[in-house]
Amino acid sequence: MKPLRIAVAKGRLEQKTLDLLEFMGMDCSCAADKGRKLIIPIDGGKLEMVLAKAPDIITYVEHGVCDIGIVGKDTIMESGQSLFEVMDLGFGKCRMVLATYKDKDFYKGFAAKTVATKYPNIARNYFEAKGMDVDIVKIEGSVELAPLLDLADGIVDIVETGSTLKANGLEEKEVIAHLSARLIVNIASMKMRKEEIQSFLNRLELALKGVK
Amino acid sequence: MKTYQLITPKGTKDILLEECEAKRWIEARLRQVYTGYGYHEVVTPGIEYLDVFQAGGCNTGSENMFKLIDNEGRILVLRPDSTAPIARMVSTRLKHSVRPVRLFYNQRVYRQKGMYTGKSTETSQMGIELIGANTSKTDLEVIAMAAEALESCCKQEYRIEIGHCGFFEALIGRLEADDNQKEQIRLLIGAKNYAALNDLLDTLDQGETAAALKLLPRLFGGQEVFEAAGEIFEDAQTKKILDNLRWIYYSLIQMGLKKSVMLDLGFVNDNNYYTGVIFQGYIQGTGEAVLSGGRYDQLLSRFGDPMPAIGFGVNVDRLTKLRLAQGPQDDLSVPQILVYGEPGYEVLCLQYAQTLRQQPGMIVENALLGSREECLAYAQSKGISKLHIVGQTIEIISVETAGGARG
Repeated sequence: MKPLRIAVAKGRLEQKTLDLLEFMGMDCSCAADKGRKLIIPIDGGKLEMVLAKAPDIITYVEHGVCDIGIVGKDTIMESGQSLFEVMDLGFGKCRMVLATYKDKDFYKGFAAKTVATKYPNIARNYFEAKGMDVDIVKIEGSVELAPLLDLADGIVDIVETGSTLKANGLEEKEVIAHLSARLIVNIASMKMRKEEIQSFLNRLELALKGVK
Repeated sequence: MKTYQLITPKGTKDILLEECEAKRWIEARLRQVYTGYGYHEVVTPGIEYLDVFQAGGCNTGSENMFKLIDNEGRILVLRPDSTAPIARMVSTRLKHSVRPVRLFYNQRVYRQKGMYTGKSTETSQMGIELIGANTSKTDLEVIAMAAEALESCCKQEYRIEIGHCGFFEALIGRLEADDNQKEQIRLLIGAKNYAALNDLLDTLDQGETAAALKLLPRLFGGQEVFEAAGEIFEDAQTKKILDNLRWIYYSLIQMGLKKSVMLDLGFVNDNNYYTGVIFQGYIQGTGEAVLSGGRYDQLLSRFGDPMPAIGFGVNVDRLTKLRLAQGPQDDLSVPQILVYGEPGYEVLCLQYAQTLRQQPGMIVENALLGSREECLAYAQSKGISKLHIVGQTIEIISVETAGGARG
């Protein structure tokens, strides 16, 4: 039987996930000296951990080449389509917000607004639901720059503490969504490997309570 | 040379040689199953009026259809599915035929997909529609046939998962919530998003209905599902659905499908397309369903001829991919004989080849080359083991082939 494959976003979520897996009693020693390896055997190869960039996790899980993924809710909102989102892991908490200049009313005036974001789909869905026409500009780096340079009226971005916004004279105006790390499962894997996945989920749920 | 002269449109591809052979093999196996049950093949146009697929006629949204405008300004679409056109056809052309009508199709469907997702916009589907019968016996026959279809063309483990959209609909009908919230709940159950579902339901209702909705997406797996479901579906309406499903499930097990059949009562409906039993087929090694189907008793009434119906479609491309992944199965048929006519014997050579082909399964290729040396080299490189030279006499030369060489 092939090992279950779990894709994890590199960086912050990676360490958290390893802590959890260790707490579940899995041998994660291979992760310590992984070097540049991208696929890491866990618990003597019973599980395979795939390290990838967040949006790619959605791709790998949707195509079924990874059975499970651990990824932020923002990534699911931006690019997830057909997958099961079965667990809120509770860590990596932050929020998706609409922000603009401290003293500015984003909605004031009749001119169509321009919004800068790394998350064009989230921004579009948000304003579409409000029935608003908004021009969306995709920015890859520091989104806060766009209003400062007068390219945009506001930004849609992730905020954890709000200090970057504050340092640049911007302010959170509306919360679009509360975010945290989620566990996603491929639709076919959920059906074909139900027992394995269910037992993994049960152990993970216990570990989450233990770690907290 | 222009770029778009050399490539196929996004999401489409050429299917050639081994892949084409594997695809036809799958199609032949499915055809054998379908015709064996008394289904007859139909072909519908590649383009249809948009109206055929609108207002619940199709579970593909119109934003995902390829559209054309005809010379009178009407909107046409490349067929995004085959069920609605067949419903149109049955309710018009086959209006007075004996029921039930059993039809199958083998055609391509077109749906727009996101950029760079690796998903095809053009998909070969081969499926059946059984129109004019709505008993449990009908559902059982169709699901058993779906299992047989998968079994006939894949060696891997497969699962047929059955559910019914009536559970969700009964529960959501009883819940006090606005349409927006109900839609949210539908999406969350479909995504098995337990956490968000619980949060949302906690704000709405504390009663039995909310508790049952929370449990619904977890009700998948084997027969244990019936025990859990029995506790929440006690009213006459849902109990009847559950009893029916139980009968189908245990009948399939009696047919020896215990390992393959499973349940998911948390199946929710897109666009209210399905009205009863719903089922999907999965195969080890594919990330998505390879077969999907269900009962759609409202569709025919949209075409003015209300009739119950059930059907399923198989994604032939995914099965082809699986077959190819197992390594070469279908050797491209190499001709057994190459015939070459000496100058002046061209007609005789063609006639000679015709008589050879009368033997069943015999493939004979006419050599179009200028000399016997060239023919020998050609036969070698294509792996043809015999060269017949037609002149005053017929000379038969055994060709030493490398084996497995392909042209």
